[in-house]
Amino acid sequence: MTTELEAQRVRFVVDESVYDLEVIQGAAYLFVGRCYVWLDRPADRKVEVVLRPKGPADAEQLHALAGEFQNELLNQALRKNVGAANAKIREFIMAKAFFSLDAPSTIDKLLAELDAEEMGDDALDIPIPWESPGDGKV
Amino acid sequence: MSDAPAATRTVTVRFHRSLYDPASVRVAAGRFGRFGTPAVEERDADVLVSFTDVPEALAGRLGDELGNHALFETIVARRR
Repeated sequence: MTTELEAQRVRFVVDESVYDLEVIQGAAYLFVGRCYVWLDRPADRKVEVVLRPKGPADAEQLHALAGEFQNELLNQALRKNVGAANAKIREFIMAKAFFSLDAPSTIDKLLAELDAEEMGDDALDIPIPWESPGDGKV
Repeated sequence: MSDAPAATRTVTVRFHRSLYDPASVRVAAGRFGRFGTPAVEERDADVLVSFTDVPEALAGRLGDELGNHALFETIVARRR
């Protein structure tokens, strides 16, 4: 990747067969806060990136900025690949969390508690007149 | 003191359609409407945004700011 320095800006061309557009845009997204970022297409499958810092920058800083962007391209590409590789595992974990048969749902737990209460003794110990032993007098 | 009208300029910015979403460019251009009069033209390969009546003092920066906003809107729209 050849980097060209100009007055207050740096430009380089990224090959889309190496880094796809989503990766390039992902890196650009992280630089819009401190640079003016321009993308252009000088040829098919090529993306030109132009970075112009919002503050003054010397040649060394411009070079560093270009290097940082190019490192971010690698980082974004890796994130994309890891995300794609783990997609099935993520889907499985989500499905397990939402639709697991092993763990009873909250509603099942509440219903079980309700059943237990109905079947158990009255916790308040309120006497039931028609069941109390007596002498039969009313 | 001069009563001459403030100097204005026309700022034109070109966005390649394969890199910038035309709808996002329009949204971004609309945001800068108070700094000039925007006109958006969608062509085969690119989207051309022209701002007329831009105050001279803002002309240099308007294009750069518009570029960042158009890129940001494009990325956000793509991720939606």
